[in-house]
Amino acid sequence: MMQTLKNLTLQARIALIVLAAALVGCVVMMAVSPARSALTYFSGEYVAEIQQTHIGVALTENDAVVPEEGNLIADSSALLKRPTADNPDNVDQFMIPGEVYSERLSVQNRSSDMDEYVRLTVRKYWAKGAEGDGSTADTRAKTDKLDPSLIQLQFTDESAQHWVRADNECTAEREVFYYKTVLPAGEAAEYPAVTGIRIDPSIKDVREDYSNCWLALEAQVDSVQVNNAVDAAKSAWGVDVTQEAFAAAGLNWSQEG
Amino acid sequence: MAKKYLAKRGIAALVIAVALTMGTAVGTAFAYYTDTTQAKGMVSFSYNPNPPTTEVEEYKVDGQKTVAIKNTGEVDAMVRVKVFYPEFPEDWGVTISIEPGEEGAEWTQDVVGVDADGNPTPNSEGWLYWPHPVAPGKSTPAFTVKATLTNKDFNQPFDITVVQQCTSAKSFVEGQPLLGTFADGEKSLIMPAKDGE
Repeated sequence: MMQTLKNLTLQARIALIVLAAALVGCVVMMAVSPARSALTYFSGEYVAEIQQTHIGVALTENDAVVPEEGNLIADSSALLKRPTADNPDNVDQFMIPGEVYSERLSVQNRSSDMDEYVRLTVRKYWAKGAEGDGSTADTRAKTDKLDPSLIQLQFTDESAQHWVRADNECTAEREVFYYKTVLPAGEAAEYPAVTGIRIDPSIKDVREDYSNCWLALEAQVDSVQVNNAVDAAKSAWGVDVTQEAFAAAGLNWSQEG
Repeated sequence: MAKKYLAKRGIAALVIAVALTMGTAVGTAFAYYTDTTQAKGMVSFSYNPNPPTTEVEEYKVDGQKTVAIKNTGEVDAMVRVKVFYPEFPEDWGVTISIEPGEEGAEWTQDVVGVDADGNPTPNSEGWLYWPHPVAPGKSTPAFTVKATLTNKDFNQPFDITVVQQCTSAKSFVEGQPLLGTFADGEKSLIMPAKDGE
């Protein structure tokens, strides 16, 4: 080995020495660095509490709050009640075209400390299939062969005092309502947006077969903060609540609550 | 000249740095409090002001049961039939088969249903469909439930039961596969492939 070392060229020797020095340096650093992390001083603990405010909104059906992921029309006999002169306890087997069945859809502010502006979207459509009964699967699915405009949601003048129906967003399948004023924390809307459902009597003239189907309703409530509500609605929903049609109907979301 | 080149690079770097800083500074302000909740439900609906009604017409021809379906209602109806009969072991010498007459050649089992996803479901229960609407007061062409005895010693009584169902012919269009919506959903004919397909 000594012979090999002696036979190295000058350049090789220099390179070897440099590498050896680097290796020694690394080893020294490894030994040194643990010693550099010893704490010598730390201050006392400071504790801070931050409470974030929560916004919450719930749908109400017939003045009762619908639980999260709950069902609308959970009790169909409650919907199909139609007292008649002969029978005040009458419950129809199916909805009779032309008759209005009571179904009050509204909104409640569920936050404890935050006012909000709200809107209600109701989707209505026909479905076909069979209801599951535990042993068989639920095969009901929306059908596009039946006309959703035959399902009519009742929006009375009294509802119109508290809600604006957004005509430009409403379609045969969807109705959208905006609550005109601030909904204070913990309170429900003063009057429901939708008060009833009715089947258009013109169903008797249509070609399609309505002898075995389901009437489906989906309701969604959305809320935004009161501060900068106009910007919030634009950002979250893409809707300009200052548009002419809303202002003319009495919608005013620039209040700060 | 080297100085000018360096100065230009310095300025360019400064400009890029400022632009990036402004870009990152602007995007932080837009987070609004929002909430949403939803619920859905369905209620059963049926509207059939004038439902079709049909009944089975059974009679014997040459000792064999012959079946036709008669429309006893006031509107056109699409009908289907199912025949229940025992399946005897082969060596008993009794066979039962369904044989349509000349005019009844179009009685067909080549029908598919539709499940909730729109996938075709086969006619596993063996219903026979008449692929044309039956007018009020009229009957479908008949078919015979033929029982053939090859073993003269066979003397066990058995039943042949015929069940029929009907539905409105409103959605049926001649030439289109859809027959109608029976109790277990929409039924459509399996159309033969057209030439060239």
